[in-house]
Amino acid sequence: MRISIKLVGMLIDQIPAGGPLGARPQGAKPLDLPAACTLADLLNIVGLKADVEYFAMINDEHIPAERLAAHVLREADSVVLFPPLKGG
Amino acid sequence: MSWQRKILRVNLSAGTCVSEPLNMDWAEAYLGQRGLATKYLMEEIDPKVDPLSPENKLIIATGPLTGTMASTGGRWSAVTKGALTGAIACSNSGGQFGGELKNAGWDFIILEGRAPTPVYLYIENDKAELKDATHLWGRSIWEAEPAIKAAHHDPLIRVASIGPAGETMARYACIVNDLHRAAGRSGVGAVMGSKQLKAIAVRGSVGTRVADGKAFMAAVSGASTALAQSEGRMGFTRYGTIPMMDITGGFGALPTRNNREVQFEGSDKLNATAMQTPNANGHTNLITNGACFGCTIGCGRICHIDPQHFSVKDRPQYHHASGGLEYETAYALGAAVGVDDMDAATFAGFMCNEYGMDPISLGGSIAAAMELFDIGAITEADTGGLKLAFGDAHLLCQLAEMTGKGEGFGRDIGLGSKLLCEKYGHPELSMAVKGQEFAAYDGRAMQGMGLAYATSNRGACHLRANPYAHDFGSTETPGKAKVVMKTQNVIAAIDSTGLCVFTLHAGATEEHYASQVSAAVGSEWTVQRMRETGERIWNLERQFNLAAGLTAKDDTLPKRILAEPAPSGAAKGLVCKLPEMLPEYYQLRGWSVDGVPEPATLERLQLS
Repeated sequence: MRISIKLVGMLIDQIPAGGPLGARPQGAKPLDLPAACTLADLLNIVGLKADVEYFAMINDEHIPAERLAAHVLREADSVVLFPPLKGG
Repeated sequence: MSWQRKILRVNLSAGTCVSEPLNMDWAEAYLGQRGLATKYLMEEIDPKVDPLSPENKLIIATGPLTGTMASTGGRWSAVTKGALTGAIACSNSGGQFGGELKNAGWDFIILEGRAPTPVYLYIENDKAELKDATHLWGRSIWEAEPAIKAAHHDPLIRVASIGPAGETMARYACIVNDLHRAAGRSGVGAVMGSKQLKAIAVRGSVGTRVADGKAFMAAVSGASTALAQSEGRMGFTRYGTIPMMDITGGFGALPTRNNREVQFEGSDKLNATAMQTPNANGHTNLITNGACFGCTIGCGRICHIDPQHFSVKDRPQYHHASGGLEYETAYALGAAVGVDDMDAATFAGFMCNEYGMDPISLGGSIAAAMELFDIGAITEADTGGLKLAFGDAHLLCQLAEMTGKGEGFGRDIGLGSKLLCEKYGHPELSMAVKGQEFAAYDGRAMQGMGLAYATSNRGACHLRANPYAHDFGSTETPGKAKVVMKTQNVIAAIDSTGLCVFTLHAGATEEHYASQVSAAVGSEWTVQRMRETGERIWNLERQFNLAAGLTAKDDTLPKRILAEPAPSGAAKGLVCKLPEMLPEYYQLRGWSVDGVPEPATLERLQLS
């Protein structure tokens, strides 16, 4: 299945250059994934550490923290991953 | 030690400067800076006093770690009854001024009375005197600070001063030190202006001693190493605070056009990428980062405006580098007023630094005026012909300068959104708590922040609690009251140490604060003692506010946040569920249903 993924802030810096998104991906990028892929699987595929702190919006809807890792992605999902920045 | 054990008491009415000992028993109970200065204020003034009267006092306070080698140990606070809020005001600043004051041999300055003519306070180690400032009155901060340094033939003097906004007592006037750092919130600069005190200039070479040098260096090394290795710290260093623009913008917590909306279509023109990317003229807003006294984070942004930008095209005096946009200024002078022009927002920020205004309250007040104009409550007859349209970058720059100078309709903007909206018949359009404008987070998507705003002792504030991670994890309310209460206590203690609260977001743990304070002052400060002290400080501030006449009715939010559902984002369709959270918060605090600390709570905290 194909989704779009956008990384925000410091998460961009944590993406490896050799990964499917390339170095420092800006804006929304298309990404092909296997069926029944979870958010935890997605982190692994794009090269983020499994314990990276993040929160997610999918199709403009917030995914509660307790359901993040197990959330199953669907065809055409628009995924945005945010670092949990504090202060400001 | 680390304390100089000395207060400089300045009676501006009498023109006297007297040294007196710091109350060390109180320092053990209230730690320093925010907590200790609040104790002094509580003891020395009637909380019902008019904040702009000579009976109010202004305390310039350092903490036990100010002026030491601890990372970020340069913080100082201005503590007084706030001109904007009528509540306790504690406004915290960095830069170099705080460290210089401590190293001149002073822990606190207590300013009382009102000078008959404008003066500035000059301190050179143990010498302190009031000097005539008639020639500086009416001049901007960017003019006055160099003039004071030149008069004393000393470029290393550190200056904290007010601009014309403070002189004319704009309600959210601030105190600016080192040209672009500020004790920004609650109108502490208006209080200073009411005392006809233009500036405090300090030169110090006494130094600061700690109780246990070896233990202190070990504690400082531990904290600094944690900061060095923290991804949060790296983010602040590389990008400052402005990446939050993408996060709140995407999440739907970015207050836009006076909180009518929660996402701003122009946010990608005000974010970290935009700040670092050359514009069509090849000009890049960001030059480098900047750090305050002893800071190893360096979140400050040093920026310059495109010389071809309309705001400065014929004004070369604004072509230099200075403090640029942080997230809060980018929100207040961008999304809040619907402006997506980074250079215009930077110029308005420059006006805040030059004339001495809190940019958050300035932006919030302009946004309120724009909405009042939009609904017809303000007309061109009121504004002198100005059309107050959301998104007008030229208007933003014009209003910022007019407000700073106290000119024309800028006088109304200088009232703050609460008085402004009352004046024009729509108090509900002021996006403020206790008279202080919201920071850059909407309390519908961030329910914990909504509670934090409502219960903040100094009015709406993003720096009084730390509900960020919880809020970005869930829009549901369970657990929020506990997170807000606990982090309010922790931050009250951090604000009393002399360190920057951003260390909390940049890798420092509570153990780091406790170990550094212990080694510096020579008494044992555990994490638990820090928390209890923070709780004591919070309750003392609450007691001040209650004595000033505030009640539980002031622990609320504007109708828009409580009754108008968020139009988009994570909280689409939601309002802030403050009524669900507030009773639990009061209960957790040991307060009555009316928000008054119970006798048992006061006794436990030794506040009876």
